[in-house]
Order: sequence, then structure tokens, then C-alpha cells
Amino acid sequence: MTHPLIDLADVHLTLNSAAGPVQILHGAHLAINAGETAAIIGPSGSGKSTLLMIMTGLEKATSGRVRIAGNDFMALGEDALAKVRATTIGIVFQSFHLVPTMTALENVALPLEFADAPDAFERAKESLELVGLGHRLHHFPGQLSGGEQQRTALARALAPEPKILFADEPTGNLDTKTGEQVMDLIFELHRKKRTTLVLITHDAKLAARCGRVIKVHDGQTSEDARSNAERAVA
Amino acid sequence: MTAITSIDTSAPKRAAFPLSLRLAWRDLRGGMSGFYIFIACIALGVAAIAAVNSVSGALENAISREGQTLLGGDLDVSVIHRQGTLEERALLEPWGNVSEIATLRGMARLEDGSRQALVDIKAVDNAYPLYGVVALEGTMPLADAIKGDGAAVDAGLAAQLALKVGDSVALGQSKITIAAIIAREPDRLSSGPSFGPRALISVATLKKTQLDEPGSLIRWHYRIKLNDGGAGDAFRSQLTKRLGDVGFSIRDRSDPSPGIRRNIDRLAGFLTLAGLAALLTGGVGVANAVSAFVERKRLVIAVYKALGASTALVNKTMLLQVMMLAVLGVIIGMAVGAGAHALALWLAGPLLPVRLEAGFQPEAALLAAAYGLLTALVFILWPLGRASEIRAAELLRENISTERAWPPRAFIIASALSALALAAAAILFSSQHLIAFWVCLGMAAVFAIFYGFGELIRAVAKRLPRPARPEVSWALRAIARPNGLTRVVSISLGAGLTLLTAISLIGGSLTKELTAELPDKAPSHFFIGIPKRDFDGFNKLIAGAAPGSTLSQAPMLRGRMIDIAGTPADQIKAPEQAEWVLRGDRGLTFEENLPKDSQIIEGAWWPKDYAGEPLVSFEVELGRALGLKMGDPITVNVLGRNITARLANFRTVKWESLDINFVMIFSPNTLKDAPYSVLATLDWPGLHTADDEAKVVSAVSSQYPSVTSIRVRDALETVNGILSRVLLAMQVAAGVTLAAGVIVLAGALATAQQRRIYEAVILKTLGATRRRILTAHMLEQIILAVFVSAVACALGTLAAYIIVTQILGAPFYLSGYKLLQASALTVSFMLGFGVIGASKVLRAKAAPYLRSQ
Repeated sequence: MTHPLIDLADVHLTLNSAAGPVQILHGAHLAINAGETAAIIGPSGSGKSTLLMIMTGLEKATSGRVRIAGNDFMALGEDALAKVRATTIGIVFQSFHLVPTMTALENVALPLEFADAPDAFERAKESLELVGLGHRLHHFPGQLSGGEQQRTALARALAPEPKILFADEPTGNLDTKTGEQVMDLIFELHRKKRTTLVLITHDAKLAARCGRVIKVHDGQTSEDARSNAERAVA
Repeated sequence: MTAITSIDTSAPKRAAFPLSLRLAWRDLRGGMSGFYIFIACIALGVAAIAAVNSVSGALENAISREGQTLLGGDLDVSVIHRQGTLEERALLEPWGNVSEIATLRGMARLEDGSRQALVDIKAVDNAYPLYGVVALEGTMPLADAIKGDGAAVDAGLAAQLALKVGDSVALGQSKITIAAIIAREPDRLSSGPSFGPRALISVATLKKTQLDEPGSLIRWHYRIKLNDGGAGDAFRSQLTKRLGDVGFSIRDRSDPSPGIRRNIDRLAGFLTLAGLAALLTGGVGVANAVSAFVERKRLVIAVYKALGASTALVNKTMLLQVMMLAVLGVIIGMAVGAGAHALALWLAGPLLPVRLEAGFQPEAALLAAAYGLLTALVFILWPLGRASEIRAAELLRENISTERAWPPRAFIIASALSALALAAAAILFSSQHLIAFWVCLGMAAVFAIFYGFGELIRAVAKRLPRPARPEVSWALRAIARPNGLTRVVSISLGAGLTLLTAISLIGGSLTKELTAELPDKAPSHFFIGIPKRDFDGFNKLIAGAAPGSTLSQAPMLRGRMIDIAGTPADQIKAPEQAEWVLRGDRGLTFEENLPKDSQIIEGAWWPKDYAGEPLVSFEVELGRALGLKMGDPITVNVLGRNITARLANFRTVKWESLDINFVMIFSPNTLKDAPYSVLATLDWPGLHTADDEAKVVSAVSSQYPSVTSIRVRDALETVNGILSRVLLAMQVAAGVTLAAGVIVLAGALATAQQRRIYEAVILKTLGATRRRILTAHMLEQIILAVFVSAVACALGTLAAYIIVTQILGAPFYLSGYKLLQASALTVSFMLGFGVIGASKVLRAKAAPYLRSQ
């Protein structure tokens, strides 16, 4: 029997705040198979970003099962989780989060260097060419447009050839046209590489481009199987 | 991905360096913004330490390099009170050229008896100088100048007595004729401190003056220019065996002036500790800069972690980056320190007794670098530890707390170990370990106190009832703010100001004691070398010339400590404060009765007309420091004869009275038959002028030409002159600490400036006038300055009081003026910063700040 690539069961997360403990997730379930595209949607404060943090190992669940690409995230320490991220997971952030003092090439090479890849810069260059930034290798983030910065971030996320690409509101800081171009690129790369794609978004139109739409509400996940099936047929 | 067929050659070269170093370097390419204060703080302290050690090292090197010239030979063998015998000279002559020299003090007086001056006499033979050249003004060689009754003298003597070349002055029972003025005397440094101008005469002339009569304080030197320079050690050990027991002191060219070397060591040691205080103060700026750096890098660190970097890699990268900047600060400091050496050479070169050579002093530079890097580690590790607590989740959740927490345990331990290593280095590298230990402890206490005081001011400001005037309220809120300036102001200015206050008050107390108080309490004159047969006559002369005066007297000889309780003196490991007793010649006396200001602490004074085995009384603190026990035999060499006496008692001595005091007093039967001279002090209370005093001295000099008169006020002024220069060096060093504090404060204010501008913008938006904002700013600065300077003055006063009364044993004088100076300095610094900061705050336009927030 094969396990889903992303396998979350009965995930709870409680954080301590000055006002006392706050329960953010209570009993979230999620199973996404290799090669799928899934959008996670929900209102602000519903817990969708928290869910992303748990799936990327940036946050540890209080209880439940979190298995990502066969790794039991509940049993791994911070550095082991970092290693999994370096090799298996790519993340694209809404605010790009490029290192301002490094060139585009160096930014893209970072996860490869963290994974001790001997050919980090060759692969980084290739990845940048893939997103159409072969001519911007030695530019610093400050010298790039918003769209170029997000494409650099995408190249960085994809350079280690991760099994899963997580994108958190990837178009949130871009104008509509640039946002559409970036999303086209993300879906094109997904098709080329068959990378599992998980999108966190408010944008219903964007969510509709995904194979599955998972709703997060009040710390719990739900899925409309029928509309997903309709989307699959479409 | 497809296979790579060609690689961009401009891709970074990677394999040569570890990833952490590559990441650190990449980040540094972005510039050093935010690190200028960090670098300045390290550079300033390192520069101070490098400069002090570089100059002192160069001086010591020069002393060693010119050892032969400064000593006047490869070896100097000397004995007090008597000339070496023919047998003793015969021991020296096979080894090389020998030169005989005598040094003593005497009174040169005009032949009409109207004026006189204390002179340092040096009588030399034809072989003098064995090394170097005595340079005289004009072209006359020394041999010609001292021919017959000729003398070469310092310009000071000629000026003092209004003499010119060709004039004669009386000296002892004869006269000398000034033949030339001395321009440079090669071996002056090895003669020790001088209280009068030099008069160089021949040994034959000295004999004519009859100042070398038995019992006079004359030291005969035998300098040897070795035939085989390398045989020095063998010769020295042979001489020590043969001559050490008969009262000779032996010095070699490797250390021509142990006293000067010791003093250079001590002063350099103190100034290095002051430099360390500057480094520690600067450390606060380092810590602030690193904290700000960690805050600036939160997102980058989170990105690294999100992309798969381990915590260890992030820690290494951050540490390397900051340490690279620390190294840059150290290099700048070392360069500036080396520059200070060159500056000292340029400014003071011609005045120094030795020729300094420009050049790099590697030891000084390494010491400064070690201090700089250790201090950097102490202050870097703690705030940097917080970087390891930054989590990748911050990229997705904005409300993660950035409140300062304790760093991980490993960082706390590493930070503490660095602090211990720094303290250990400061103590080990100092020539006075115990003092260095207390100074380190004191510095730690001062920093802890000012940290605590900063917190206290904050807590008080927080709890005060809200004042009616909004400006005062805003100022108090700013003081109470957790990440405000209060703590930084307290630590950065407090330490430097405390040090400056303490040194200023110590200096003030010592200067006042030396120039105002002591001359009134102390005897007005010392008379040295009164022949014992002449004392009654001398007494009568004084009674007539100085009516109402009191003449105190004591027999005086000089002798060397040879052995204590069976242990040779040169093998005794004496504590620092008692070491001098074993070194060189000590004044010795004998007394029938216990001196009036002394008390017996242990043992008993000898009975009247005691005629038993020789007994000795020892000053209690020095005796105990040397480990003496009642009944211990103590052997001293006087006039070539070893005399052993048993320790009969310990007694107290009031050194500060400047009365006649001796470490050792023997029972009369021990020394009374020796050819001693008498030492007398003149207490002359009441109103009399300097002319009256000069008349007394003139009468003494005319009637007793061999007696040396020393005016206490002149001697104290000489000491005060030296003290003033030492104090100036110390004040400059303390000023460097204060400068470090000012730099730290400037950095903290710059960091806080953006927040202050934003707050001012909000206040302006809500209707606050510029005057009100300015008032609030200035009030905050003034309140902090007043409180910090008050505590610094109190701590500095306490430290000065303890040092002056407990360590130096002098009375403490509190100078309100000096305290006011220190407070005014702090308040003006703070006001200056306040005005600069406030002008920027008030000039800021609201719109850009409101938009950016």
C-alpha cells in the first residue's frame, strides 16, 4: 500500500500567547498524492498558513500525524527537518524573501548548497534559465522587478528538484498581469516536472486551476469531493 | 533537468571555503552599514592598548639595545660608603677594561657663601665612559673639561647659581671650576632619579673636596668593558660569589636600569588595564550592534532555515561575519596603535633618555589583538545566541514575539568562558597580578552596578505618578521604556566617568598632599652626611640660625640585606610590596629608645645600655610581608662587613610624616662604632621666608661643606612633577574609556533615531508642538545624565577614597570642583547628543514615515 505524499491526520496545534493558550488547528486531516495540485483556501485566521507551516516543518504540531514524503515530521528535530526541506520541499513566499545581499544566482543556489550539492551553481543557473531569468543571474534582488523577484524565488524553490512545491499566496505582492504570468509558469513547471503543488491562496480563480481545493475553517479541513471531481473532469 | 554542457565561468568559486564562510562573505559584500560603531568600539580600545604597549615595548627594547651605553659598561659592580679595595679591583681587571666612578650628592655654593645648590656629583676616572660619549657644549672633550679642578655641569646648575663657564664654586673642602656644560651624558638613566643638576668631576678632584670621608653616602662603581663580551654570565656568577657577600651590587647591560624598567612596566600595566576598560565599555556598543544586526537579519536567518540550513550553519555564518568585522576593528586598532608609537617618537623622541626606533612591536600588537578579539567574543556571543532562536516560521507568521530572551545555554557558557579568558589574560599579562585581579573585579562590579542602576532608573520612572505636564510625562515614559536608552547611557557613560572621577580625585589628593599639606606638616629641611664628630657644633649653628626650630637626628649608614633566617636575600621570594627592602642599599640606624611615633606590635624594645647580642627592630608590615619571626637572624652588609642581628620586635612607622624613619633600627651596640654620619631634619614652625631658610642652608654649607641640604618643599615639587605626568597619562587613558562610552552612546542613539522620529511624527500628527517634543527629548537626556553622573561621582569617590587611604596611605581630599567637572562633562555630552538627535527628529517630515509604516 502506498502512502500519500502529504499525509496529515488529526493534527492539533496550540500556541501559547500572552492571553493564554490559543488552539489554532484542531483535528486537521489532509492527504495529497504525488503529482497532484491542491489549493488550500480559507478566510484570514482560519489556520491555512499554520497548516502550511506544519507541512513544511516550520512549525511542529502539538499532536497528530504529519508524514511528508515518507518522513515522520513529528519525530524529527529542527536540523533534520531543515535537511528534508533542503532536498524534498520547495517553498515560494508571498513576499519572495530573497536574501538582499546575494545575487539571483546565489539566492537560487542556497538550498542546493545547504544540501551539499556539488554542482549547486550550475543547477541554480539552469533553474533561473528555466524561469526565463538567464540574463539576470548576477543581479541583486533590489535590481529586479517584483515579478522577476518572484520568478527567482520560484527558481530557488525548484532548483533542488523537490517532490513538493508549496506556494504561499505567490501572487499576493504582484500586480494582476505579473501574477498571472507567475502562476502560468508555476503550472507549466508542474506539468513538466510532475512536482506535487500545494497553493495557499485567497484567490478563488487561482484555486480553481488546481486539481483539488481544500478548505480550512476554524482550524479544521474540509473538501468538497463533488466539485473536485467536476474540476477533474473539466 | 537537462545535463549541463557549459558552465558560466562567472559563477562563484566555491569549493575552497566552507559554506558558512562563503555565506558570511556574501553578506558582507552588502556593506558594513550598522557596524561602524562596532568597529570603532573595538578599534579604539585595541589602539589604546597597542599604543601603550608599543611605546613601552620600544622604550624597553631601546634600554636593552643600548644597555652597555646606559649602564656605562658590560657590568657595573658598586658598593656604598667605601672605595673598592685593591684585592677587589684585582678580581675585575683580568676580565677587561675597568673604570672607577663615584656618585654622591653635595652642595655647590658660591664662594662668597650667598647661594648654594644641591648637586648630583659624579667623579670619573680617565677610562670613563667605557661606552658612548659624554657630549659637551662646544668642542671640548670631557678629559680636558675635568682636568685639574675643572667640572662639566648641567645647564641647570649654571642657571641656578648664575654661573658661566670659567666661574668657580665651592664644593666640600675645595672648589671646582666650570669648564663646560653637559649636552648629553650617556649613562644618566642608570643613575636613578636625580634631585639636583649633574656635576662631572675627576676622582682626584673628589678627593680634594673630602666628600668621600668614611660614613658619607658615596657609591663607588666599577664598570667593566669585557674582553670577551660573551663571558658576562660566567663572570657575573663568579663576582656574585666573591663580592656579593661584602656588600657589592652587580648589574649587567641586559638591565641597566631596573628601576626605570619596573616603572615603565607598572605604568604600562595600568594604562593597559585602562585600555581594557575602554574595550569593555566599547563592548557595550559591540553588543548593541550585534543585537541590531540579529534583528536586521531575522528574515534572512528565517529564509536560510526555511531553505534547509541547519541551526549550526546559521550560527557559524553569523559568528564568522561578525568576527570578520571584529578582526577589521582589531587591525584598524593595531594600525592606529602603531601610529601612536610613531607619534610618541616624533613628539618626545628628543626628550627621551634613549633613542626609540620606529618599527612594529609584534608583542604589543598581538597583546592588543588578543584583548580585542576576546572582548569582541564576550560581547558578541550573548546577543548572537538569540539568532539561533529565530525560526523559519517567522516568514509566515508576523506576530511571533521578538522580545529578548536568554540565548541558548551553549552561548551563555561560551560568553562566560570568553569573559574568564579575558580576565585571565589581563591578570597573567600584567606585571602586577594582584592589582590586575582587583582591577578586573572592580571593572566587573562597576559594569554590574551601572547595569543595575539603569534598570533601577527605569523601574522608578515607570512607577512615578504621571506628571501633569505632558513633556515631563513623555520624558519619563521614554526613560522607562524596556528597549530605550536608559541602560545604555548608564553603562556606557558610567564606567568611563567613574574611572575619570577616581583618577581625578586620587591625583587631586596626592597633589594637594604633596604641594600644600605635607610641606606644612613635614620638616622643612633634611641634612644628610653630618659627620658624627661635628653634630654638636651643627646643632648649635642651627639653634642660632633658625630660632624656635627643632633638629631631630639619627645616625645613618647604608647597608645591603644579605640573609634572612638562613636564606640568602636574593633567593627570597618577597611579595611585591616588600621586595624593595631586599633590593639595593637600605638606610640603617641605631637607637637607644623606641622612636616617639612608633609602637611595638610584637616583641620588646631593648633595655637601656643593652650590651648583649646585636638586635634589630623591623617595621611591622614589611617584616611580616617578608615572613620574619621573632628571633630570626638578619644579616646586613655594612662597609664590607657582615653584621648579624636577631629580630627583637616589630614596630609601626608613620612614613607619611616624612620624619626620620627607617625600616630597620639596630640596638646601639651593633653599629655605634661604625664610621657613620648623622641624618637630621629641621622642623621650623612659624613665619619665616624662603630667604630665611636660604640663610640657614648657606650657613650650614659654609661651615659644614660636606653636609647636603635638601629642602623638603623642593623635593616634594620634584616628586609632584613626576606624579603630574603619570596622572596625565592615566587621565588620558581614562578619557579613552569615556570616549568609548561616547561612541557607544552615539551608536545607541543612532539605532534609536528612526523610532524616535516615528514617535515624534505621531506626536506632531496628534498636535504636539516642536517645542514640546524638544523639551521632552532634552528632559530625558538631562535626567539620565544627572543620575548617571551622580552615581559615577559617588562610585569614583569611593574608589578614590579606598585607593588613597588604604593602598597609598595618604589622606583623602574630596574636591567638589573635580566632581562638578565630571558631572558637567556628562551633562554636556548628553545635551550635545540631545540637540543633534532632536534637530533631526524635528526636521523629519511626517508623510514619508506615516506611509512607510
